[in-house]
Amino acid sequence: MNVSQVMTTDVVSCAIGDPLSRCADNMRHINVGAMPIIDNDNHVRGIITDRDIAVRAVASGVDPNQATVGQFMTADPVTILPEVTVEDAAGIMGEQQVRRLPVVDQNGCLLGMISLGDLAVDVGEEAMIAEALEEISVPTR
Amino acid sequence: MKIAEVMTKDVMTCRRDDTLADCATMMKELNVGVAPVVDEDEDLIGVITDRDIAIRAVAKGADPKTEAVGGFMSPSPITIEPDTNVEDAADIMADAQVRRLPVVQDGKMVGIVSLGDLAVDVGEPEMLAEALERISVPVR
Repeated sequence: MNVSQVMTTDVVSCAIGDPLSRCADNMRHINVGAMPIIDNDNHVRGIITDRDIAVRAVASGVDPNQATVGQFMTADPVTILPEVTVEDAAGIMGEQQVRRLPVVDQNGCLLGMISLGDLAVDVGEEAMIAEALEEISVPTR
Repeated sequence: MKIAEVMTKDVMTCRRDDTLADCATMMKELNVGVAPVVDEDEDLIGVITDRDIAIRAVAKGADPKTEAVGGFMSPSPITIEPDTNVEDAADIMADAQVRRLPVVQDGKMVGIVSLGDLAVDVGEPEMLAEALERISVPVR
């Protein structure tokens, strides 16, 4: 099984100049915790999570109605190609300690999103899931 | 294995009158995503997550420097006791679709446990994978 068979397509994304409040409202509306940021050519430029909005932006005291996504996103995030196996995808999530990855084509254009939750729901490999979750959860300081 | 062996103790808590910005700062400094909310008697009255701050407050245009935790927390959270089995804890998380549970004894916070803690400290992949699956299944 590979990423393309499990990923979510029809992904809602946002732009670097979008205010954080609008990005957060999109997350609320579609019930996700991470949003890819694309440019005018659909290239993935960054990723931002609900946590980033809280601990990077809110904790710093900015006004989320004025501050933009670009100021608080993770730029040039780790991405994954659709033909990668789900096992390798879980391995990458564990290594990078992330629970979601933007799926891109060879040019870096957004095709979808895949999460550890997607793997847990759609792929029946408990050991793979548990190991990824463990690696993601080990504190690194 | 009991939750008491796996949970994090000395949990930082916040108050309902703390600002969202203060709460977010605490989450940032401690590198956590959830803050239990207690009253003057240190009784647990709610929980608030980093996601709650983003989705319930920022998404609605609220000013986190003036808005208080009490208006955005989840009141009456599900809790477990320290002598709960880890398997039962994973099951409770799965049912409630949450990844953390406050651990309470006689109404007082004694710790907090997350699905991540169970993944690191408990070697039962089936239990963990099933919990994550049940937590992740969309509910609308």
